[in-house]
Amino acid sequence: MARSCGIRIGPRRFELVVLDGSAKKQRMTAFRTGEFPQGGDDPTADAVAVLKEALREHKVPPDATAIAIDSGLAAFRTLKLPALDESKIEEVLKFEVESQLPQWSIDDVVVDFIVLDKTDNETNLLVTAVPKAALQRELDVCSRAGIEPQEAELEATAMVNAALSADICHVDNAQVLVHIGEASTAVVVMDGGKVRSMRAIHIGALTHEPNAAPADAEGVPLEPLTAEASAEDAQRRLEQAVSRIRRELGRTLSGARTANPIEAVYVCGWELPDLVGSTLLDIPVYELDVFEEDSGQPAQGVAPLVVAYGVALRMLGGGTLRTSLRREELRFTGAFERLELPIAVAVLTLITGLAIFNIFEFKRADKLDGDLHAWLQSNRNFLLTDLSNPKNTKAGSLEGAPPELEKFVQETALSDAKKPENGVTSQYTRAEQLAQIELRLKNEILKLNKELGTGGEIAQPQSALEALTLVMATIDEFKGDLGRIGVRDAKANYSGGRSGSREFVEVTLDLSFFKDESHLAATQAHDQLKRELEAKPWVLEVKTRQLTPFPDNTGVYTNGFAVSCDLSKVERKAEVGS
Amino acid sequence: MSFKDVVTNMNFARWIIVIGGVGSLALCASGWSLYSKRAEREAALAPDARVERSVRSIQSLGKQYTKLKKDLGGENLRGQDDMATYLATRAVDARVALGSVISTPQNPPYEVQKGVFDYKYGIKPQPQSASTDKGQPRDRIVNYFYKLESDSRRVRVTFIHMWQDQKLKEWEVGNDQWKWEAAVTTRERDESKAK
Repeated sequence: MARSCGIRIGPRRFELVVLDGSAKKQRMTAFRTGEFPQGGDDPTADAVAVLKEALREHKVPPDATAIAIDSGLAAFRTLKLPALDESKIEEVLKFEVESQLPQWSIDDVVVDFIVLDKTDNETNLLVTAVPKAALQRELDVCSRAGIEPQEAELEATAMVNAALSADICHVDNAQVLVHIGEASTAVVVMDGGKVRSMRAIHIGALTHEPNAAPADAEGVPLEPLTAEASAEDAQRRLEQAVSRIRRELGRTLSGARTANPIEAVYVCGWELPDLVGSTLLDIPVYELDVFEEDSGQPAQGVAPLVVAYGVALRMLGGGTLRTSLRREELRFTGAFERLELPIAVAVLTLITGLAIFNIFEFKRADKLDGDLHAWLQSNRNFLLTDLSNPKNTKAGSLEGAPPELEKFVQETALSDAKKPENGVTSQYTRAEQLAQIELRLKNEILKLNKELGTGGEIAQPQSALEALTLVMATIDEFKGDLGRIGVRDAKANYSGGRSGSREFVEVTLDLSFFKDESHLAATQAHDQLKRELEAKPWVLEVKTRQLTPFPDNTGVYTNGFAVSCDLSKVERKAEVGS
Repeated sequence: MSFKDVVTNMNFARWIIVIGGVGSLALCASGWSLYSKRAEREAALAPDARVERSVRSIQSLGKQYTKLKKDLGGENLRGQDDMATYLATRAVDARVALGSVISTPQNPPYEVQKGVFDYKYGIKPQPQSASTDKGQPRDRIVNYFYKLESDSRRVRVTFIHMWQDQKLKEWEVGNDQWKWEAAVTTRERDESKAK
């Protein structure tokens, strides 16, 4: 449910109304009238304190508050302009009305307008002008009290909105609406539900008192009362003020040119004797009661609340007159609105900085990309024959590579401008191209190793030929000591290969040892051979059998001389080129 | 407040904030991406960093590939189906001259470890009549075995038996003619046959 607050701020008094609801149906949830202290050292500060207290007490919503100021501060003028739409009127209004406000500099006032009537050729306006200083003063009081009014208008227009919402003004009659303020009285002639005229009489309910407004808005000084004035004088002056107001109202009634008959005068604001309930030129004077029954208003004393009610109603979206005095430098600005220009400047600065940063980073990345390109070119020159240089006869270090690999390497060395659009390298960055070359080479090497059976992960079986050769080489190595040895049968067999089992080759020889000296020497040769073999690092075990001497004792022979060899222990020279 | 109200209330400063805000976010993302890429490239291009190591590795791999390619050019055994031909052709090589040999694959291949198989082939000289079979010279037999291993990196002679056919006493010296039988083995990985 929406909530709004309307405040009427006068020279001596304020009224505050809080509404909950909508423009069509609302309820008064809080109201307050208060007097600003007089005679202090700082009347403004005193006013701020009182207002602040009232605002705090009634929990006034800070974002839906508006004020109405003394109509006596404004000057009212009528203006005829060609038929223009409102935006055009806004543009030319100050220029057009300047000549009608000789007492002020046009730059020192805010002007607003109400369209009185409009034809095809002409627009009739009621222009209100308020000095910026006077408005600023009221706005400052509110700011210091803790609220920022979103709108500001005159008491007169707020009163009209209140009256229209209460369906007091009909299309077939006319009324005079009167707001009695402290120092001025706003008079609005309504005809057929529309504003016909509006003015301020610079006499109010407290004009007769000391410290009343020393001058009206147009600078005409009023006669101040001295402190020594007696109560009788005060009463007399009050009666004079009332009489003068009645006279002015009578002039208004007699001078009003309305299409419909004026059916009544409605009065709100300060209560004055001999006004409400009387007649003026046979026209009854009533209190302006705009409140629905049981809508939260007080049982008595509702007249002062009408203007504040009209202001609050307008903040809920009601009201017909949408006047606005918060214009130009006095325009309402929320916290964000005050900051939006600095934020916009900050955003522009930020985006400029980010753009520059992006440009710098792009250029640096581009340069690094060029460095990578240089690496790729060197890579290509190393791997492949540099066909672009006819003087270069040196072949690349990569020979016999698959054509797709060669093509890939060649393309990596090309500049971006020379690369084919859908080339093999188009989907890779330069860093990825380098990684791809490495990966592809590794894959090709894996394939080659597999074809060669040297995948590295599979060890080929030990060679029986190698083992037999090693044993025979050992026999040959010590032939000077061993003498002649005959091999009658040679067998070599590879064993192992199962997971976990040891691999070895068993060499089995049937040997004959020839020693002319004696069979003992031959036996010694046999033993020495055994020892020499056992000393070899690649020999696991030597098993010997029975030795049988030759019949003529010139040697011995044995069958099944077995040497177990583990060829993994053979010392091998590193392969050239690996 | 409806979207239309929001658009109506927009002024130049607010448009700058909105468009600039969106643009700033985009430039932030873009700038961060460029910065990350640039930092990564700088790190990769630093001395002894990823690029340099990668290039060195490529150079080494290139040489390794070339060597293996040459080795493969000298590799005479391609695939198991070729083994019989391989064994037979080496036996008739000019430096071997052993004549015909019979090779007998020993089925099934022996699974040494999971997915790794030993394919073994027995080799014997072509049988001849008893009167003409005097054995073969030792050097040719051994040359044959040597050629079997040198012409292919995948072949190993895993069984050799050589004996003299002459009925000689242990103290008598023979004529260096030998009868022989042998076996070769190639070990390969074949995941399709793995148990």
